[in-house]
Amino acid sequence: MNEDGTLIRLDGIHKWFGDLHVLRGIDLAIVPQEVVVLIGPSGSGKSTLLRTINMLEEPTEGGVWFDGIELTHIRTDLNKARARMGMVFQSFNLFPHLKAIENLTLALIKVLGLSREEAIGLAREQLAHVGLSDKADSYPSQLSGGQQQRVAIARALAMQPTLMLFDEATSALDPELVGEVLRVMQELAEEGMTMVVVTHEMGFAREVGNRLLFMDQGVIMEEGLPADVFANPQHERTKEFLSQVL
Amino acid sequence: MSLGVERLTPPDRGIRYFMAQQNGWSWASFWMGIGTLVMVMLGTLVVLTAHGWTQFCPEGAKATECSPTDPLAEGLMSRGLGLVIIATVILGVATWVISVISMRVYQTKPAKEATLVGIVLAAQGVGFAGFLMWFRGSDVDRFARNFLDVRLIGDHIGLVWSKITAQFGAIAEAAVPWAINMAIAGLLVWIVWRMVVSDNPVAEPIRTVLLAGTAAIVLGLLLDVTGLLTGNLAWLRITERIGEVNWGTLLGTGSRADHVDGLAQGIGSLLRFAALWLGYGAFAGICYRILRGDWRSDEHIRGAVRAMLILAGSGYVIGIVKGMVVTATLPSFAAGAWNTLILSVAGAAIGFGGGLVLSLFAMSSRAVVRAPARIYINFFRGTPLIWQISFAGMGIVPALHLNISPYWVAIMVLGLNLAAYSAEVYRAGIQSIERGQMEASRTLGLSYMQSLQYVVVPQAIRRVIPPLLNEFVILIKDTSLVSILGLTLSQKELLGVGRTIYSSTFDATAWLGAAAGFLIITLPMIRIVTIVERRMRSGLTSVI
Ligand SMILES: Nc1ncnc2c1ncn2[C@@H]1O[C@H](COP(=O)(O)OP(=O)(O)OP(=O)(O)O)[C@@H](O)[C@H]1O
Ligand SMILES: [Mg+2]
Repeated sequence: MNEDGTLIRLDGIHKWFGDLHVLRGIDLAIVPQEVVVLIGPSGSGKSTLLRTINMLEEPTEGGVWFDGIELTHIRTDLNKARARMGMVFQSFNLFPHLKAIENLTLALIKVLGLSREEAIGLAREQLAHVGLSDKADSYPSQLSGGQQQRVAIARALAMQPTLMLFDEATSALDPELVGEVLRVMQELAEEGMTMVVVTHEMGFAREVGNRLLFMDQGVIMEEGLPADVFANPQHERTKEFLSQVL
Repeated sequence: MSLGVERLTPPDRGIRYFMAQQNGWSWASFWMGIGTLVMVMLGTLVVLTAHGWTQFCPEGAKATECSPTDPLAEGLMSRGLGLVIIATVILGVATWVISVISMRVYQTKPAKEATLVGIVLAAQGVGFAGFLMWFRGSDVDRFARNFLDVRLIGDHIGLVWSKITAQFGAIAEAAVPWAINMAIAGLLVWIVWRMVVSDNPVAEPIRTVLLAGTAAIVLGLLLDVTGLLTGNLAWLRITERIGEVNWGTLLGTGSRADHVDGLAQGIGSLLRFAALWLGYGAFAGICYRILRGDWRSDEHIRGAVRAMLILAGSGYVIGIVKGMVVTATLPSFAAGAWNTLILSVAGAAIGFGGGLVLSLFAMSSRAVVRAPARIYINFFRGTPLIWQISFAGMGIVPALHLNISPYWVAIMVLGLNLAAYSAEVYRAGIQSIERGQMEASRTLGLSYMQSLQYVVVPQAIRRVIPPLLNEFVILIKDTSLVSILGLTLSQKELLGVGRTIYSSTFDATAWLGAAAGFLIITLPMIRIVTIVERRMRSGLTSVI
């Protein structure tokens, strides 16, 4: 935790890609066990914001604090910090040359320094958690999209992270496979994981989210309880966006 | 056909189905087409063999009276061959007639395919017959004299069988270390491969020992190879330099020369000893781990044993071949092929290893790291290989008074050149791995180098194996460029051997011998490239 009781704190984040001003002054504080849902139109900077939290994108300006560590500080060991933040991608990004279980054990062994046996034990536990015990020895190409995404979630969870980041985890899935992944995410939220979720699943946002952020053109336009924002959007842009997606 | 019935197994579409679906016409067309091609090939072979391919001319016979190729020329011009040609054309035309009918009556796809096969094969047979006919109208005698004196190739294979059988005991014995060394090297390579492509089966310290052992063995082998090639171990030269300090005087005893020799030998044997010790030590370590059951699974033991057996076998064969080549009388195509192999394998070892490192530099985000790598790559890709060889062998080496054999220079330049080309291949391979792979890996807390090692490079390697093998085939052919350096007769590669023989006999068949030698080496390689490409396309995750 940071000194102020938050787990994540972003202070005045700006991000430019060349001349493109993608994040334009973002302040955000997230407390432990909070589930923050991030919505907004395409190109509004949701992914970029999420990726600044674990420093996959380095902010051009501003500071990021995670669990008492200033990630934007030049001397911070980012690898160590990242090991405690899980991230799930839209395109799964499983390692195709490794079996499902090896996808999980790789970082356990290389980063956490566990022995093979310990790592395998932990990995099996996590695969069981997402309901894929029987797929441990399958290669990613032998799994369905939904199964791949659940392995990816298990891979992140195996590291025992304090924070999970989801970037449109269900967007690349066939409609009938979305449910299984959302269910895993919901269980995770109920277990008290701190989560930042970029999603187009408004049902999920309403039921699982503690807080909803609406982003547009690089700024957080509006935030509040999901139910409130859905029922009662304050900004024109929010109304417009919600009328399109609901 | 009963549609709508549920089928549990896929329908048989094999050879039996193919046969069952033929009709009389299509079947006739199919076999007659095959017959046409076989007839012209086999017929030509039989006729030429009946007349004889070469003959023995008495010493001092005038070339106009007797040439070794006379029987061949006779065979080519013979009535017999004429009959073969006519028969082929008749059969071919008959095939086409049958095929025309078959094309009208076929009812099934296999029948159509068989007919098409018949038409095409008949065309090939008739085409070849036509070529023979045309050839017979040219100056066959002269052509045979200049290009088809196959006895010349036979004479210059260089292997003397009586010598080989007489010395076979020694040859076979000398091949044993090859088998052992190759087996150990194979095991180590296999382990390194497992460590690179998958997460690590061996604990860190042992892994370090293994890597050191591999490096030591490779170094030892390289030193041995150099020694073999130059007739003078490379490290002796290094120690000579150390010897020049004149330790003898410093120590106040003995003559300088004694100490140079003694020191050189001492350090040399130490190096050898260290290499062997590390290699065999690593080997023992692995055995220990296997016995203790601290190994991943049977699968890995089986893989290791298989790799060792295969490599031990091929090592033994290589040893035997090497022993036979050593007894060859020069100039010898066999010795030339051996040198071509050594040049290309040693060049590839340097090139493929160096290229990977170079490609990592070339992809650095830091311009100061990238720039030298780019300069190197562009320089070696931008200048002709023959210039590089000449410049190193005839420029740098004499100018700097380096005492390096041209053979070693050739290996170095071939390796450095290949490094530049393979670096580009590696780079393309690594960059073809989706960005998400690196990101996912970094997100898990792996460092940049770890991500490269465990995630990106293992995937990239699989993609670059076919293009790298292609580069290797090119390298094999490019070894011929070293013939511009003054190599001794025993160092000459295939083209050099061909040229030497040509300049003493003025018989162009020597060039055919060189070409045959290259093909014997490159064709299997090309085949391997095809197989690997097919395996990778079929979606198997591993090529090993
Ligand atoms: N690496 C990059 N280089 C240049 N521009 C980028 C890069 N990454 C993102 N952008 C740009 O930044 C803007 C915001 O992108 P971002 O991916 O954060 O949007 P998003 O809100 O996640 O959109 P979507 O809902 O489509 O995923 C876009 O205009 C995008 O083109
Ligand atoms: Mg996005």
